Amino acid sequence: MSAVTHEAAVRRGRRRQRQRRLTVVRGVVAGVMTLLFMGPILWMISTAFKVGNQAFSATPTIFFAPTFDNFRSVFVKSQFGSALATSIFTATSSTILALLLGAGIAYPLARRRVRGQQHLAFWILSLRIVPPIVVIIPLFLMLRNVGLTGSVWSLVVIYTYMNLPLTVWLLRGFFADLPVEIEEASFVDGASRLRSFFGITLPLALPGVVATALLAFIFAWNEFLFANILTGANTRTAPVGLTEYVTPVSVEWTNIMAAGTLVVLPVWIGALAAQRYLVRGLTLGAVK
Amino acid sequence: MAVSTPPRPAAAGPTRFLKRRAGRRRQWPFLLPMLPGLLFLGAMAVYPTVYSLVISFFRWNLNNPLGKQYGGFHNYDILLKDPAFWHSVGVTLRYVVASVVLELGLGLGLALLFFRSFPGDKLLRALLILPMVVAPVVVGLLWRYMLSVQFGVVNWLIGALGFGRVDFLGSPSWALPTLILIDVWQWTPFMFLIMLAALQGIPEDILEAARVDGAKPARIFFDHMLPLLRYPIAVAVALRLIDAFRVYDLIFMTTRGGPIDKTETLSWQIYDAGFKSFDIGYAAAFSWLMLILVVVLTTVFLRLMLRREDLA
Amino acid sequence: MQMRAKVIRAALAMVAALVMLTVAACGGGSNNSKSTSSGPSGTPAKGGKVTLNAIFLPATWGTVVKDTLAPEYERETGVKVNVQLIARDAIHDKMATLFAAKDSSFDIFNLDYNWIPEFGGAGQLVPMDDMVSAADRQDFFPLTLKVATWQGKLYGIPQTIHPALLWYRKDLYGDPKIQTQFQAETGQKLEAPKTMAEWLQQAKFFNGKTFHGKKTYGWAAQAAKGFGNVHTWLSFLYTYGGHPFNGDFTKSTLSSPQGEQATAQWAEMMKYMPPGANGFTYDNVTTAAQQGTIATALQWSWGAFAVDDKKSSKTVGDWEYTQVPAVTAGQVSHPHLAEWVIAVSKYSKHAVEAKKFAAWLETKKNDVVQASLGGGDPVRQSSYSNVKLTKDKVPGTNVLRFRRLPQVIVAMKNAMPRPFFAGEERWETTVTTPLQAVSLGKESPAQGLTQSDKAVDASLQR
Repeated sequence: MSAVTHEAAVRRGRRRQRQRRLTVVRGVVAGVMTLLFMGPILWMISTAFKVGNQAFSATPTIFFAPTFDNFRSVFVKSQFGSALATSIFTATSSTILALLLGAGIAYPLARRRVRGQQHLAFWILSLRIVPPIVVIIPLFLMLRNVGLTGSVWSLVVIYTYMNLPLTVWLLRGFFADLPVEIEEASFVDGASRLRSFFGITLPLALPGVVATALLAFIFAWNEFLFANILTGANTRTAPVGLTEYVTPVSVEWTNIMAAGTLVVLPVWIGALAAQRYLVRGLTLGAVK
Repeated sequence: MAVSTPPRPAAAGPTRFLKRRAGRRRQWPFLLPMLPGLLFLGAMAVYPTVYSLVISFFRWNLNNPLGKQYGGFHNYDILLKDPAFWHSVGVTLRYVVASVVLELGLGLGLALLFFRSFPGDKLLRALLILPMVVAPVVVGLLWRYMLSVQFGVVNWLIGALGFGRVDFLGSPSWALPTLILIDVWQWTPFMFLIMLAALQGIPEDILEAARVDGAKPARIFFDHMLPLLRYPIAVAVALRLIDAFRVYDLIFMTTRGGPIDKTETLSWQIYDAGFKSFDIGYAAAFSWLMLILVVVLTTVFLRLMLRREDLA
Repeated sequence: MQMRAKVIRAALAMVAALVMLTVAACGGGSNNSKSTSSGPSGTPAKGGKVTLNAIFLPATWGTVVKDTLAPEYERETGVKVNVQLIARDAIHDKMATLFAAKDSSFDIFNLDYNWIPEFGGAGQLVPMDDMVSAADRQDFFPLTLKVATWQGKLYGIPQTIHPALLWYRKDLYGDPKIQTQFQAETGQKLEAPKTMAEWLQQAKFFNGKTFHGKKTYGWAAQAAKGFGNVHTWLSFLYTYGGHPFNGDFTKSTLSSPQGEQATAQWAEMMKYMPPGANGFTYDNVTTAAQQGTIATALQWSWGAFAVDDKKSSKTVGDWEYTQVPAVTAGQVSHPHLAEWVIAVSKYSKHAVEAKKFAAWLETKKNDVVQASLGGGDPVRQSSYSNVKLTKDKVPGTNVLRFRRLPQVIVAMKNAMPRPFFAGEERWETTVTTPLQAVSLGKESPAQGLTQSDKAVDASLQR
């Protein structure tokens, strides 16, 4: 009897040892992979602190005294700060609008079986498939008719439109996840639908709403094609402002990298903070 | 035709219950909040869609003072007979298929790596997802910088390993593979996150039972894990498929369709036709052909991957 | 009863949402009008300040306007000019979109002259004939005005010209040791090439050898897909006497003995460029010239300022400039002309003010000011004898800063524009691809030209 348990214990011990070795191997491989994926971004950030000839030497400069000149020139000379401000404004307001309108559609879809509901949801999603290049001229004509061209609001409207399918789909999933019983309980207490939505449903779904907001924000923040063509005087967004350093005369790599770092940083911080919910968001609720 | 959320078991029952109690009369005030959003979507979607469909049947150059001329299927006709069109279909398909397959494989591999915890895994995971939040414009410029023949760090690394310098974005045989690898770099983290979450959603007892039965890790993966990953894989691939078809910013910042025509994707050609040449009728027809292609491919793929019960 | 209360509440919520939207939209509207026009009805407000919105290229002639001249104009006249710098493609795309919607948010555009037929012909630019006096017409290079005119109307004020010049390294060509080596290898004297054959021989000689401690290549020029390779190749095509089109731009005529000779010569020359040359844009050529890794270059005249810039160049004062080589000695060559003009949108609400500003930028004085600030080569012939330019030295040296100008005058006599018709941008987009196939050796010059002819003719049928 003891032989059997002993053998089992040895087997278990061996397995644990193998397991431990495997953990180390996995850790190392994962570290290397992470370095591969992080490498280019680290390179960008380090280049942002280099001076011209360090950035262009045939043998890469790895150790150097960092300079803030690039950031200074990006902010002072080319007013990249105002481009960042425009980006923050457009991305934030379009996110808020998309959330408001999206929640309006998503909540009933999640709570009620409506005839043709699937068709409606699919139609909304299919809007995302249309390549932006297809609709840019008619969209511009429409915006012109309501007098929005040349202002940042044209981008706000378009980004709201662009993000609405996303928010509808995400929020629908998040709302559907919430047990109906809690809402029902509040009805019994005499609360109205509206109040129960704002008082109960929304707070409970908040993590999901945050993830949705973050995704919508990232898409609006990174968008280039519409911004490039539609922005008016003084309403450049950050990705468009960045292309100013690619002139026919020279490509100002160090400035590009400094501006690129500034563009990436806020969304990265947001993504890290809401990482857990981001997964749900990215998959349109395919994974819980 | 598109991606769907599975019905949530927690919600399905009570929803039906609610509906029965609600009755028809209460239906419409309940739907009222949908109105602003739907009106907005309708206003923004209907006109551009109809507009582009209509002008796709016209011969119209923006700068032609004569304006539009009805051309029937003229635009579609010359497109379908144009070898350059079919060439760009080929380029696009190669780009989309190669990058999505590689991303799925790598993402799944990474997810298996991170499936069981190890010291520091949270930090590594947080760093790993960074590429996908980088604006495509920045991605294009960053890689152009790093791949430069003269001062690029990648060529320096290759040189240090004893190989000759490669003009990644300028050589006809390297350009498309390079673009694919950039796409893989940016979007593998996306696949990784989804696959990791899906793996973590698999009930532990299923895996434990298989292990007790003495199944090898590979067996466990193929027989027990993969079937459960079918739905997340389908959705993730479909989403990437749709986005990869639209690739524009990356090409704009790197190869501009070149060298020769090696990276002329559909969206790039549409841009050329619409904005460089102002042939907007032609560009609209082009877009519709592309749209049809994307919709057909996505539908076929989802039909193959999904079963009836996946669709609500 | 309770139900009705709920309906009302839901309706109220919706109204609230709509009100928010409307407020947002109106906020946008007022924001818009504030940023784009001063008078509420769009007419120039009397006494009030007019603000003009302009788009310029982020090249030196754009930055000079943005940083120096526009602020000066505001001090002089009280008219504020808001200058936005955006890339060439974006200017073109933006104009197309804005004009399609008859939008007035921008008044002034910096135009590549090949867009004049496109936008001028479609009636989207304001004629500028009244801004150019008879004396001005005498002063501007005739060609500069010709390519700003479409169907008898002047649609842009020329701002800067840059015909292609042949650049060569004086320090290499003047080195007795290299001269001897060249003589020994080829039996010829090493001097700036006068013919295409001489140039090719010299490029071969320099290519791959180490001079003055640096590995050197034969030459460099723009060769990237998009516009670079077409512009370089055009200098060859024109010099060999080729014509891209028949007289009325209805048929592509690239396949000709002259076209094939020119294309073959260009493709042969491409072998003696540095690695990665097929992706070379203007800035790559400049960098190679600054680093001293090339012996010759075919580059715009104006770009010369960059190699004399101490901060970024290792070849300050080393470059000299001459004409693009001819086919045979004694003939003239025909360099490709680059020129940017200033145009005013037809939808501008301040067209009069905008035209005034455009003309002011190119007064005699400002033409010189722009050039001396590095903003491209002058468009007025009188500027070329202005001592401010002719006597100016590169700081810290005895080298003339504008030593290229006499060559620019000669080049302007023979320079030829890109095909001057409304489909030029489309034409460039079409021929750039087969041309690159030729320069990469994937197709013969004859194949490439036949294919170009076919593709161009097809694009004319769209």
